[in-house]
Amino acid sequence: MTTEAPSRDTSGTLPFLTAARGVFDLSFEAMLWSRRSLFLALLLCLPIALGVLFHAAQAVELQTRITGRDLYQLLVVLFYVRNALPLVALFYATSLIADEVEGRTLTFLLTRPVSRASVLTGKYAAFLATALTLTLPAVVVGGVLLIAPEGAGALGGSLPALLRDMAAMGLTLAAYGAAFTLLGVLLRRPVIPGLVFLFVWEFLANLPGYLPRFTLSVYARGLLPYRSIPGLGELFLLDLEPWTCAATLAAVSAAGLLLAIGIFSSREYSMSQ
Amino acid sequence: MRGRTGSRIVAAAAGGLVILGLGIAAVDRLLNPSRVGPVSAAALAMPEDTRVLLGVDVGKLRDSPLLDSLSGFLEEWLKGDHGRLLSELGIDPLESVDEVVVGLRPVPGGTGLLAVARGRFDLQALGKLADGAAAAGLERRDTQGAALHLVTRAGAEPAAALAFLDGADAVIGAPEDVAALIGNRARGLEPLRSSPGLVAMLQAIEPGAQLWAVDGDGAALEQLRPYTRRLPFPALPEIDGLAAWGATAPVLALDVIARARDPEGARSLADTLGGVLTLARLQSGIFPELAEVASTASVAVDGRDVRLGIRIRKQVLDALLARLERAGGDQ
Repeated sequence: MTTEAPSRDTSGTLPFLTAARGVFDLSFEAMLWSRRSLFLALLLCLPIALGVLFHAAQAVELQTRITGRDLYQLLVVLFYVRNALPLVALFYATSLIADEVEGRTLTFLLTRPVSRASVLTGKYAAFLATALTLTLPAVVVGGVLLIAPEGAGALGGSLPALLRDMAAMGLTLAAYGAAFTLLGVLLRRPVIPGLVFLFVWEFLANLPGYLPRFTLSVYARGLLPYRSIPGLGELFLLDLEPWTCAATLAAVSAAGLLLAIGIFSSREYSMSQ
Repeated sequence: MRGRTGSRIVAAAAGGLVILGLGIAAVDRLLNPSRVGPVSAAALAMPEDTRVLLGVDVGKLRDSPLLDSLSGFLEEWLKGDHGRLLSELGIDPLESVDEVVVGLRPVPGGTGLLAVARGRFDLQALGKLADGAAAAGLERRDTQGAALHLVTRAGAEPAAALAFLDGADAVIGAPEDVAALIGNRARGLEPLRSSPGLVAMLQAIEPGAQLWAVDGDGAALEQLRPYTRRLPFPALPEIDGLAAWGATAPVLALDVIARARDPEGARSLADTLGGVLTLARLQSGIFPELAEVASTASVAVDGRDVRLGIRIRKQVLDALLARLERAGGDQ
């Protein structure tokens, strides 16, 4: 037996921003204190452990093939931007609505005097806040750990780069987050298709030709000037202007979120009892 | 602690950590306010027509395995006029000096060289030594803007000059160049800042470099053009500037940024470099060291900039040097 989610009474709905703020508060709290966040926090702090290991290796005079700054740049471009942040976005953003459906709690949200647009916007903002809360401290600590030992002025000189990296990560999270939010409202079980998108479709970014332009990865990587994959593969890498990349990611974020809001607002959800 | 307050505390702690990290970086930056890239304020007073700058962070190099390779060059330099001047004053460049910036500029009949050193100089002791050495042809000048200004003479003509601007900055070079730098500094002028190409390339150098070189208008690369024309690659595009820097620990890390005239030129240069590296990687059978160096090398394009990065492990460097030595012996 199934029951239809009650139709909304929009006559007395709260203002958009007030409602979104309320949803944000609830969702931020739920996201931050979850096992998912614990797992992702450990993943995102991995570079700090690698930084400590790097210095330990130097302290015992083990031969390393890269410098601390190289390691920081590799971690930013390959670990965070290419792998960890899209995964963080996948696990949080696909579950914004899917978790409510799975836990059969969506009814409670939809019967409140709030618009569906404010629900999804509040949840998306909570995802961004949670992801940035977990990511940015790890990036900054990792940067300080790997760059500061180069000497006086080294970290100070890298301040613009640190700020740029943080902005690039924010945009990466926003774009992947919007794409996965869309996937989350479209599909009942979005994680597997999301993983396929990340590790099969996004692989196109490494191929020659025009195809990489249809991936998010190539634009996220284009925000950063760090050297790309060493080897023959670098011959095929598409180099795009950073502002083009930033504009594309911002457009994808806005379009993905608006589409997701449109679908979520018009869809009828059936809750099995 | 769970709940809304707990979430806010976690978010505030995360924000605090980010602000602390960025604050440390900002303080570090504020402590070196007058620098342009790795160049100190004193070196910025070099003459405006300086085309190429070279720098060495002696403090970091002291513990470097590269020091042995440089010691021969240093001994040769110490035998010249500038070196004799230092040894008469009892200055050991490796002990008293922390960083050196050398400026090269075109002068009639060759290249003018002016070096600015930062370190720890005991002006009182140096003054006494200078007075004692006056009989050996050392002339002490009373110059506004310099704590101690000395000139050596080769017969009637001034040969080299050394000036201590204060206890931390010294300048050595041709007497007229040293006098010009002292004058610029006394008037608060920093002529190098008016060379946008040089400043842009200096700012491209990553902090922490132990050795670096900057060519503000690509003139140095132009001198290589006759040789690159013989290579089986397309002609290299015009270059507006070049910056190269390196660190010796934990690996020998070399980075070069070439600034092309336009993004197309940059892509063309990157393609050429990529082709050269690919060929080098295919030499593993006959030249494994070169193949390994090429396998660690990477080329990236960022607008007009082409960046080449090379990392060389000590074992590979030793093998390369040994091979070069053998090749030299065979000839």
